[in-house]
Amino acid sequence: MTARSFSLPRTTVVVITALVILTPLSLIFWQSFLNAPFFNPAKHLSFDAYRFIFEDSDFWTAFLNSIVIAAGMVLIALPLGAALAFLLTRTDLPGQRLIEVLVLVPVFVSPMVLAFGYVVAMGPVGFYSLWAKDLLGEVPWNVYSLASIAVIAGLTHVPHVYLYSSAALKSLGSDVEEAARVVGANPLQVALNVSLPMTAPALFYAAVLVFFLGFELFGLPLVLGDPEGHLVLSTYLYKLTNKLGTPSYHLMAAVAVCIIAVTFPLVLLQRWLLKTAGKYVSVKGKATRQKLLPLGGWKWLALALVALWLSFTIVVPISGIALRAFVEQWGEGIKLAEVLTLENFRQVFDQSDQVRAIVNTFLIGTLGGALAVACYMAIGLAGHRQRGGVAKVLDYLVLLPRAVPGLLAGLAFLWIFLFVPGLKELRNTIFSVWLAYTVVWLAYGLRLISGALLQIGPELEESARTVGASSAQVLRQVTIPLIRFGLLASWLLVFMIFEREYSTGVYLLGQGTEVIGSMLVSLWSAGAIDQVAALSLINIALVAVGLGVALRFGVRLHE
Amino acid sequence: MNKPDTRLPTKPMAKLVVEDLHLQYGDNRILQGVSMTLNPGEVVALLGASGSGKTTLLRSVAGLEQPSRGRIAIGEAVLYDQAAGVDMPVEQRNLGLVFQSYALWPHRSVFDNVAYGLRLRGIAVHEIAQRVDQALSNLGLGALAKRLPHQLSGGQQQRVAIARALVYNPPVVLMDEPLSNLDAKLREEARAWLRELIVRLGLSALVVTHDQTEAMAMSDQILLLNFGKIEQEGSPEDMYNRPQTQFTAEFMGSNNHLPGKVTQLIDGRALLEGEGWQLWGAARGALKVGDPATGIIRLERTRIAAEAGANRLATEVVTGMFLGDRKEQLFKLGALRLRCYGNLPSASSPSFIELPPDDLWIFAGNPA
Repeated sequence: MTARSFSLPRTTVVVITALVILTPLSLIFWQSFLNAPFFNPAKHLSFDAYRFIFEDSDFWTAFLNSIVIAAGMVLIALPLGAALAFLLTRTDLPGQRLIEVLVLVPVFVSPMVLAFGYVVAMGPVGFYSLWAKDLLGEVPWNVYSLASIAVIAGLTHVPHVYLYSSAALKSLGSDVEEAARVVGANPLQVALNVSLPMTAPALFYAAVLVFFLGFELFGLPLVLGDPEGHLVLSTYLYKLTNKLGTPSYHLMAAVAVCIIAVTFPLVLLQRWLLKTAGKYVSVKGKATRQKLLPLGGWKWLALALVALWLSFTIVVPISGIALRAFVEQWGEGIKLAEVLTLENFRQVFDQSDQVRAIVNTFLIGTLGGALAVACYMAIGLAGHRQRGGVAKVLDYLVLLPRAVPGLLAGLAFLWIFLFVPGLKELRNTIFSVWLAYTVVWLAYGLRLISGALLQIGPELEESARTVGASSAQVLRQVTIPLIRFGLLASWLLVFMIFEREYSTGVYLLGQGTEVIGSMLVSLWSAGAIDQVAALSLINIALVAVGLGVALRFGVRLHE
Repeated sequence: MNKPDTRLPTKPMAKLVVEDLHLQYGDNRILQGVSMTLNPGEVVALLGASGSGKTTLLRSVAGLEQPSRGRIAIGEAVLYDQAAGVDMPVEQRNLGLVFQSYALWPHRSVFDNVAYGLRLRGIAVHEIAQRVDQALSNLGLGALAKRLPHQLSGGQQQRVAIARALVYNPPVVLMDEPLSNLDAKLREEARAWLRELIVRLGLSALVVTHDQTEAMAMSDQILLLNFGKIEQEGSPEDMYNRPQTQFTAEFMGSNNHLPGKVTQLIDGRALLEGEGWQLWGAARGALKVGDPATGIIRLERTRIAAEAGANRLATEVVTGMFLGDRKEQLFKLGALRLRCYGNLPSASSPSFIELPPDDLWIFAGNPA
């Protein structure tokens, strides 16, 4: 009886989730098999779109570039992330606590902002480039080459590998490593013969994740690939509009389907890996206090390498932006002291759309973040402790948006808001952007919620049922109060993610729907470097506030 | 790469000596000056409650913990000496350690788990195969060499862990609660099997356990640890029959407790008085007339008697419990509760309990 009275809200949640996820996806799919935009009365089913892009050499170049960059990222991020995890969990490297926080910064800074940071810091006339030129007579690097993009993307994705391998190392019982020491293995042999093979599933998972993220990359190749014309699939899609002059929605949809055809299997592979990883390490030891490996004199070398990486991925781009935001112009022969100004910020605050972008970004992070967490909680609770049908459907449903890069999701939602009656009116409100953000980050948000839900022992809920609470009462009076802190933590993380998001809003950008992320893309295309710098700095400040609050509350910054 | 000496004698004749070992984490003093000796071919049990420091002592010998003071040596080889600044790395100590969790490497087969120590010692491939086979058949695991650890039962995993620790003939085998991960039923069989193995192979072993029965069954010497200090050490019989302290007496068996006051002391005998009863017992430690004291007697030494007599108490029956091989009876006398094994004499309304004076140990002080 009680179960039935609760199943109505649950069904509602599942149906709405399914609608919100499947409608845009099927629209993309359908559109890709039309010969013209779907609102064009002359449209009909055809393979024209696919034929066009498959015959376009740019498409294949972009496809190849995407694979090269993604593979390069794996080659760079995997060893570095694994080594970093080992240094931070198993050795007496000095400054661990600070490093553990700093490592996560690249995860929360918008790639668009980072990319822009590299341009103003290390581009042909960047701050560091000109200083290097003064010293060496020439600029020893070129950030616009394909290799540079892969290196930068690889280095900024080290944290992703670090997170998964350090989690695996932490959950690896110290006893299996001690057992190897006792039978005669030195620390290096322990690392190679025991720790590495036992964390291999986590490392493999991280490799697939980084490859997947590399395939989706948008901000970095958009900014860094432009000067030399290096396209990847997402930037190819973005530039299709200009290619034909008319809205070539069918072509974009076809590219989108091609991207999803690669990313969705990767998402399924990740899911499978995550499931089997736990099975593989079935003999778990008890976690005892671990004797940290003394690095001796090597610790300074290790620290120097970590510091070098941190300065390349955090200090260089962010200091570049910070400097650029406060100068009128920059180039060869300009003295820093003579061009310092606040004019860039004045310009930003003089433009109503940019002020709106800042306000909207703040609102979408705070209010929107809270609303999104509420939605994620509803979905999480709908599947909570449910076996069979509903839970399975939800399980696979929420994987779908994970495979759709933000840019494509934004495009699909644009179409929906353009043509679905009842939603049209909301097209020019921030609601459209919020909905797209919420769906794009659905899988991430649900992981946070289910992480919090997993902390509750089933016996706490079962005992409430046995003393006479209905399942709805258990939810309201036991489950939700118990995950309060988890919800707060999720809100903070979603806030940061929403502040940093940029690609999802690109196609939704219009009067009333400005957010900093999409504004940056648009201003960058228009060449308004001064305002890009100022807005980027404001964006970094917003994320930093979120990060500060999260650290203050002791929120775990990853699952 | 350091290769431990492979020419160690197969029947090691060196003894393990721990002298005045101290260890602390911050202000928490885990070991406060422990000394012990393990003679070749002997089994010493480290017994104690959780937090007594027994596992820490074992791990210090293995080199997995960092003592702050003291000395550990096996024969001529000094493993740790704070005064001399010696702290041999774990992998060079050449000891065998059986972990409580077994700590088998899940990504390696049974054979590879056992062979790893030999490979690290640079032993030829054919000899490794031969020695691993020998170790596995010694432990009754011959048919399981190709399995992965998660395909084994708990008892089989334990045997693999032991084979892995023995295969390179360490001078001393360290075992951390070797039986605690087994089911209660399996544990008793494994205890007998393990004792047989130790005797058959002539091992020197240091075994950590929190179970006094296990300690008595498996070892030649018991070291009872209490908050990082040795409470008492001796043979199992000594520890059980001649406890020097109340702590040892309580730890080693199942007891009746009689809190009271000493009213007379004659020839090593003390008269203990409580509310409505008085009993003669053997005085243990320094007792004074008028001091509070506690009488302790093993359950199996407490006897049900048919009638009144010397050192007998008239009690009321509370209830009886059937334990399978015997019955346990619960009696009361005021606030006192006494347990003992046996059948009730039929139709005796007040039941008499005899506590023989030699078996009733009287220790100074009342437990809180």
